[in-house]
Amino acid sequence: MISGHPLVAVVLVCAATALFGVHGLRPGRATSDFFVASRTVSPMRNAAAIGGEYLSAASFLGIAGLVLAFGADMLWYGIGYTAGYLVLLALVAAPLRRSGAYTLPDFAEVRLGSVRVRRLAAVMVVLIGWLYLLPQLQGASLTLRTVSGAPLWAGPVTVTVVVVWVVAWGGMRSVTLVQAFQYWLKLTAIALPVVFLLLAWRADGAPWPDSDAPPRFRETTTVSIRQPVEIRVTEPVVVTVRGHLDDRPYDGGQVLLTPGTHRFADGARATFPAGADVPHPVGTPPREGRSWTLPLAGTEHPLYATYSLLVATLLGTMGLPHVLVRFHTSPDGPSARRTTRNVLGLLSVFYLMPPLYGLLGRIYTPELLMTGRTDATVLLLPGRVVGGTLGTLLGALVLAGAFAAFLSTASGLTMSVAGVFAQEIERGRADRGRGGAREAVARPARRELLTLRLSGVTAAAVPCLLSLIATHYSVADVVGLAFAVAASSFCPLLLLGIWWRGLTPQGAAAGLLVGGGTAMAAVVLTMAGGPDEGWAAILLSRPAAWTVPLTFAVMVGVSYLTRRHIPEGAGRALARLHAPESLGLSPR
Amino acid sequence: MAEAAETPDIAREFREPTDFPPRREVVAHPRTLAALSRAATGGGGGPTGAAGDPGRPPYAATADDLGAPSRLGDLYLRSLMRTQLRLGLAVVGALVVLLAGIPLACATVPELRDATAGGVPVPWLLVAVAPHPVFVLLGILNTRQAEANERDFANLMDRPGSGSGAAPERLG
Repeated sequence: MISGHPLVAVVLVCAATALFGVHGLRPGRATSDFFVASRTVSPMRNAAAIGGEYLSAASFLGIAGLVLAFGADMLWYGIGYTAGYLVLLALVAAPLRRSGAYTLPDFAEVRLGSVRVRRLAAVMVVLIGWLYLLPQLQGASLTLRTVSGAPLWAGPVTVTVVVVWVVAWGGMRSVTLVQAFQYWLKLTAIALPVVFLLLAWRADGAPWPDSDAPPRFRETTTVSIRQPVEIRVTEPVVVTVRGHLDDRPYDGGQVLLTPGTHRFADGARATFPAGADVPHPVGTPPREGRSWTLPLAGTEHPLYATYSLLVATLLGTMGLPHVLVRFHTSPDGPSARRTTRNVLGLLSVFYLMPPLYGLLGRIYTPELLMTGRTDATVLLLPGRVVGGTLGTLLGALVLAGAFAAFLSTASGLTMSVAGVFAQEIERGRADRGRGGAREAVARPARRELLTLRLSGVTAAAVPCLLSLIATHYSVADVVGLAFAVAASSFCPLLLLGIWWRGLTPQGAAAGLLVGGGTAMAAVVLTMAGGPDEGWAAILLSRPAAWTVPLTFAVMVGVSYLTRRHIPEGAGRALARLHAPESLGLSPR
Repeated sequence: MAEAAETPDIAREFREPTDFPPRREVVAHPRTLAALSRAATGGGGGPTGAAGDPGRPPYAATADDLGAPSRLGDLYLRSLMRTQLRLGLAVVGALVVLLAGIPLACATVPELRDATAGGVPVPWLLVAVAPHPVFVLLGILNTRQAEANERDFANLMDRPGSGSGAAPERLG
């Protein structure tokens, strides 16, 4: 197959990312540079950097894959991911920037003056960061396997190596440059093929997925099975099989697949005739017909599921560690606000695209429904629909965009997790001597850079190992869970910390423990294969709608009970968050 | 008369421990506070400005007072936070109405759910396309208004008692 061309794109993106990383080395000597690019980034470039960092594997591949399999209800992902920035803009951006905190744990300490809450927040940052890194690495694994049949470990290892390189040698300044570049790369990579895809689609008579029948193969299709899969066949169909089917070897002979379950082994190839129903993998069947086209039609409790997803994405965005650190590259509160406003525009443009891929994927790549690898549709469509040299080139472009997505989100996350690690270590040292976090951060010292680099390696290596062990989940699903945990821990901490002076360290700690804990437990239960149906399943797989209010209630309730412990400097801290810069209250 | 009714409340709160949220809060927009301070200096007339602290009427606070354990600085901070929070909540409220409304409309109005426009189901357009321009619009409005609020507040703080600040200009 075409295995030479596409990998060139991957190599180019990795090399460009690594080069930018080295380019940023020379100015990046001081640790403050390392962290926040000395706060000299303009709102537009910073917005592109935030967009570049934010558009992850879930956005680039995952949404299209979910739309392909589950239809209209999945359109909410793109909306929620964008709208989260509006909430961030309206309630968090400027005060957070003025707090002068580099990380979420810093914010907790600045606002509440409690080392214990800071440590708790640090633990949550690491957990959320790793949970979010996992799908990026899995996306890379799936991508390399789809385009070149590479072993499953190749993607995660490649991404991890490049990210560690960039983070360890460049720090935040180079990351800002890399991220801004990668936003535009990703937008081009997803938008340009859309033009050609839509032209080809119109030339084909603009078919809409059949709303009354299950998805069918439009033409004779050979499906390559890259991972063992168990499928359910409803209509008997004669297929040509090469490889192992139901533990029996075939060598290109014709086989009658009877209704029931059948098992294809790794490396098998099956050719289905045109017009045959696409068989589904056993487990979570994709939606069919009307329940795919129409919203709120396919699952139990669809309204709850939709609202819970919206709560998670709207409120989770502000709690993502790699999103917050970006705000400190803005020089002041108003510019942080303008940056966020620009991000909204950039994301709105991007998120118009993935649903189109999902829609076209439903028509032109239905075999993905059989292998369950629906996340690959964005990668396959250009070659399938446009075809020829142009199709190959567009395919390479999309591949480059996908890798940019893995690399940018992964490096941003690794940077934040590493930053938290390094700060905790440095703080441990500084506390033993004397002196606050800010001095420790501002002082350029070789030892601190070493600490940060080692932290970067640790921050990236652990999820890399996890991704090799963990079985495959839908990329956007895992990201959705990371959003739910962030929404149930840091969102209440930020909102109450910024707008309510009654918040106490005890209340914040209790809220983080209860909210983050329950959301985390729901995630673990879901990923371990919890209940399959009924309220229990939906409450666990979409926890935000109940864990977020619970966290708010715990934080407010415990703060009220411990109101004697409202920090003494609460008023001053709030004044710093809200007073305009011209009054000279907030640290520059 | 209105002033006379306000003053005892503030005086009472002044004596309360300041690190607790007070029972009764004085709710005022920065412009209201500015008016109050102008009224305070204006009521005293020109001569009071010369005596004691010129240009520092009783209702004006400086940046250093903000959030400090004085009832006055606290009052200013609260008014600023209230204005900005109201703006933020208005924007988020509009967002919530929009986002909660679409699924609800789809769930309760079958005609809307089944409608198509140019071959594309209307719910797809409603969910995947329509909200984006609204987000951008709300974002622009929010940024503009929040900056205006901050400008108002900064003006108020920079020129404690804009009434007395304006007077020399007129003279000169």
